[in-house]
Amino acid sequence: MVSDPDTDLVVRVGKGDRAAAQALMARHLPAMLAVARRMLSGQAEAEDCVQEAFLKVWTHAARWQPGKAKFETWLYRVVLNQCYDRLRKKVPEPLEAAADVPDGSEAADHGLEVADLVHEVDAALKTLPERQRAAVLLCHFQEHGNNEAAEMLGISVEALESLLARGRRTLRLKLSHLRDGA
Amino acid sequence: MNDTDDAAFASKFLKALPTQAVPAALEARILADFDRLALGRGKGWMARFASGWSELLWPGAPLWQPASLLALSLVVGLTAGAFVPSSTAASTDQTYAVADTSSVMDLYKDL
Repeated sequence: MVSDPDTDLVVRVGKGDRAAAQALMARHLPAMLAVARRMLSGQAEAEDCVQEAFLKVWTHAARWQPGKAKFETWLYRVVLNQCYDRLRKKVPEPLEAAADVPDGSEAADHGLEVADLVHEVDAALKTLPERQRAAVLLCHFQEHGNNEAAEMLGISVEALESLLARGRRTLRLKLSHLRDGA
Repeated sequence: MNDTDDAAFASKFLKALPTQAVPAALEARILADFDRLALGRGKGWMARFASGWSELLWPGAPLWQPASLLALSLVVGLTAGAFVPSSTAASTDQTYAVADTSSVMDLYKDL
């Protein structure tokens, strides 16, 4: 039996309780939107993705079985699957973002503005394959534990650790010029 | 360069990423989805059936519009059926008239 702080809210949502829907949304929407924004390229696309995920919540809440899985885990999985679907439908973009990452000391010499730093980290993240990106985001951006993140991704902890190791290594190589500047 | 260093590096930069506020318009859109579904759930099966057809025939219109159009066409049809003289009915009478005459032809009648 999984202990889940959202069970009561989900059950109430299933009965049509609007206040519960609002509370559930307030609790999870910021984190879901943050992940979708980093997974996808545009703000509008991330918003559409999260809206579709919540539509699934409203539709399935009445059939929710408490204790089977944690609601948050299930919701992350829905959002990430929506992201994967959108990324697969998309025509691959030229890796402009990767090209934007400066290679050298110039930026470090002058110190990076926060906006530049965000842009560079985002650009480096976008070069990662989708599952590596999701793993890195869940563990390092949202600070979930490995067990939890593995469950969210629907993979084993070993597979997650492998994704993480490769993702982090690539990220470090792409952002190596920031080591002293950040 | 080992995995622990890579992890510390990733955490350092990813934790620095800002989390933007959720747009109020998005919250409104998500709650509007909830309201629409809750409204559908509150109806009986007859109403759901009717609104399902209404949405299929006349998307976006309130239920009374296709319902009143259907009722109006029914009234026009029944009125026409009751009061407009039917040419089909007259031709049926003629058929009977023809049928009433003898089917045996007297070839020598006019001779």
